[in-house]
Amino acid sequence: MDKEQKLDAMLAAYTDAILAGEEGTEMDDELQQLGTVVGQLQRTIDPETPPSPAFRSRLTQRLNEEWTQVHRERRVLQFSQKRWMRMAVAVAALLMIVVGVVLLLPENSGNQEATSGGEVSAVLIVAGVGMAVALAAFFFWSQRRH
Amino acid sequence: MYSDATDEQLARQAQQGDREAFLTLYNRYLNKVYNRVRSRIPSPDVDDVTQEIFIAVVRSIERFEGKSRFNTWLYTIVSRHIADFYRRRSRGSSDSDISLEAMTVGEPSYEHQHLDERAIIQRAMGAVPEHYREVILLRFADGMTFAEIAEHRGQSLEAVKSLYRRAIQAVRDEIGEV
Repeated sequence: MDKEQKLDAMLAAYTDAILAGEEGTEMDDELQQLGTVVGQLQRTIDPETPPSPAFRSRLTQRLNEEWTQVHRERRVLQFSQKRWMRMAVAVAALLMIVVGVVLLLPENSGNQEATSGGEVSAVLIVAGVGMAVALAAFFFWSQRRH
Repeated sequence: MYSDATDEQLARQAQQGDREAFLTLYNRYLNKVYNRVRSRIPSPDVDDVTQEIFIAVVRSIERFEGKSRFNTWLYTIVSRHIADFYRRRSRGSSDSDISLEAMTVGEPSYEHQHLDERAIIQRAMGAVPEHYREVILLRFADGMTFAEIAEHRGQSLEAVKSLYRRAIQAVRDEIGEV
């Protein structure tokens, strides 16, 4: 063991003794100042001084409240992420697109009789495109979750 | 059941919504976190900062991935909150001013010399590099033996003792500059 290692071991042993509440072992002159720092650290960080029972009790209660709140929010989030819930949202969106298109198209066409065949085709095309977009969005959404 | 579980097992159970697992972790670490905060923060603010830390743990435990030890993850949160505290408080004055000022307010029973010593040590601890501060806190705040610190850090006992002496020397150098 070289001199440096001896000093390391000596300071470690001194610290162990101080933290155990014993008298520190005799120190090399080079370590006297470091021994003083160890004493100051022990007085400052003293692990034997726990938080007060009042604070502990208050903190435990606060954390229980926080836990309840966080998990309530999480349950709501998890509910909205369920597969059937997402499917229902996708179907509802699709229905809205179809209904919207059906309601809007007759107003935009001039002669209803002349264009009735064209309207039906347009509604079907738009509904098909809407459905494809909704399914693609749903698929993309599902993939991102896994 | 909970007392035998490792920190990481408890963290995983807490992630699944097990409140008792979380409270076991909290009881396991309250004193250690409190001591770490006390080593860096003026006494009047120690309770508040400790509370902020544990609330942050409740909110973010879901994000603990288990890639590191639980206490490494927890102590990162502790360090961040201590840094936040000084960032918030230093908007008007320097950290050392705050430490001395705050330490002497609201604690008339403390002897002035002891208050000065605490403030000086706190300032020195804030100034030394993170790995020096960590080895000191593992020994003093967490109460780990040097052998346990060596295992925790994946180093030899000799390397840890050497690191510890350099850490104490660094604190001594900082105190000398006060």
